[in-house]
Amino acid sequence: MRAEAAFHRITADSVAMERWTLPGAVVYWSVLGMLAGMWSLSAAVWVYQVYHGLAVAGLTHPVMWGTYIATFVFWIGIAHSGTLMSAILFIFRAHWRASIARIAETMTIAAIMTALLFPIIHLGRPWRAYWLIPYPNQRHLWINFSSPLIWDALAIGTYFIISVLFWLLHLIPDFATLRDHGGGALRHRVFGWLAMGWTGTAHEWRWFRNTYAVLAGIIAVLVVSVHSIVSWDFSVAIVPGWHSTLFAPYFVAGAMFSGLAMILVLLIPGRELLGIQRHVTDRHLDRVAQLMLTLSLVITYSYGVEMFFAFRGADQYVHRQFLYRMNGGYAPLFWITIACNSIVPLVLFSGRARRNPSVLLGVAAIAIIGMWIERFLIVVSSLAREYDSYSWGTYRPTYIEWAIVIGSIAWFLFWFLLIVGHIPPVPIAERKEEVLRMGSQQESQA
Amino acid sequence: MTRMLAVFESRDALLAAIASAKRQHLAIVTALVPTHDDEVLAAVGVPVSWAGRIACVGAIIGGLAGLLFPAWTVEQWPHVTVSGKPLLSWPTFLIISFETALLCAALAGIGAFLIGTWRSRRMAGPEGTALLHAARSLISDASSALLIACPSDRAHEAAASFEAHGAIKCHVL
Repeated sequence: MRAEAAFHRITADSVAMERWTLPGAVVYWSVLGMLAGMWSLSAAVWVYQVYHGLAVAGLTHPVMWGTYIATFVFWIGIAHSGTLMSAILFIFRAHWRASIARIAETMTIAAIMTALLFPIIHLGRPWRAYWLIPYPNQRHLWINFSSPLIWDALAIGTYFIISVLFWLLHLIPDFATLRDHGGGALRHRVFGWLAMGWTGTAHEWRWFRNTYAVLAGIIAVLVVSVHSIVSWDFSVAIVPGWHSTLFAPYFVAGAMFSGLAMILVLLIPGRELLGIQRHVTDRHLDRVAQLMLTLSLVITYSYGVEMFFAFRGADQYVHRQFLYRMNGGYAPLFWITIACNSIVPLVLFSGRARRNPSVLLGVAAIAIIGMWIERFLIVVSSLAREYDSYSWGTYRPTYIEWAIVIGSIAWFLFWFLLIVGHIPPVPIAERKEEVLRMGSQQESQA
Repeated sequence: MTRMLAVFESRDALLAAIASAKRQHLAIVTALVPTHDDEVLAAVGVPVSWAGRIACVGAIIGGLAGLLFPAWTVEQWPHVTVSGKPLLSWPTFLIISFETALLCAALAGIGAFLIGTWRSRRMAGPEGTALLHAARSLISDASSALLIACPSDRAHEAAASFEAHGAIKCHVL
């Protein structure tokens, strides 16, 4: 009966979490309102850009890809870690994932929703974005399927759809719990519709678990392929600093690193706001920090390999590009990247630092800034110094670009908080399974 | 045949009742549990689902479609090249094929899940479905239940047996 008592407590906790009470509700809706105001202002700035053209964004020869593409790659990176972590930890039966999986998956969805805006924002004529979609037309004009940009659109679209399916599937038993416990008629109807008739039969659980495992396997492969394809946007071009076979693993590691940092940035204040401190403990943060440290070392290794091939290779243009990064106009950004992504995370070797939420929050925030700067540096410095000196130039983001980038952060946080505030932030059924597993472990030890 | 739903407060009682039902040769329709529980699933004898196989079929269809659709579009511009390279370029189409394979596998898997769970609920029959709906608020909290089919003359005997194993309620339809 101990397991059943724990089940009952988990249900009661989760149902209580869904009923926002003062002052939590005031803080929650105020934050949402503020974020909505911020991204609305950015939307107005974007309308200004559409009206006056991309020149107001500082995008001109030779740097035609600037802040928007760097921010797009950054958000795609953030999106990768959430679902990947949830799927990989499920495949390896890392049961501690239960407490953070839902938040990580929700982060992925909000991040893809943000990333998908940037290719459109980057277009001078955004109303022609649908040209990326293969559709029958009178001129038989098909898109070029050999272009990495088309692979990109397809890969990210696929990733978004599968991430949403994975997230929704995981929610079905939890929606059934919310349907059956507490709330008014509207809530009962909405959760009843979302639960799709779930009753909890043994056969349903079998289908649920098998399908979840299939999707987890698909996602584990998909994540690696999607960010590799994003990296090929750059590496298939013969631009010094981009044309490298290292880019795919380097981008995947960077994506996971920045995503884990974002999970920490969301979890540490979020567990207070959502009242899930009992479920998301310092032990969970410690494990995420360990993963982050490992990926920081992988990234540092990638930086080293990139430098080694640049300086030991025969291509003088690549050599010159990396000298420019280290000593040229963008050199401060290069060294800040190294400091943020390779040096500061070394603090996480200390167990005390990993168990201190304030330190973790600081390191994670620095890592996120470092990863954005890294993307900016890859995109901009390579274009600013290509082959011939007559085509060199410099680029600095304008206020328009900064306003849109800041608006994207507000957009991301808005959707993340809106979604996570209306679903169980900690999986109900999976927590119950965890109780069963721990109970049987204790029995076998006894 | 009569459908009977016995509700239990503990999982151990449910496992004992499943064993008892098997001994009495009662037809177990399904068990209801608040979370995925391998032991209960094995006791009931739930077969492995077809999710993986259907996802594989989806992957093959998606992969082929992703390969053939770009090739078909290229056929419409036979003389066009990109920087001297033919538009019909299988290595680049393989990337598209790979992504569509994964997309269709996931969609097929989810479709199979929706149909499979719907069919498993229908398996309980109209009476069983009514019983499942009546008990679902208990199940999604902490209780578990066993749904059986038995001849109406054996219903009392079965109910008595389940109550002896700790059933808190026995509904018969």
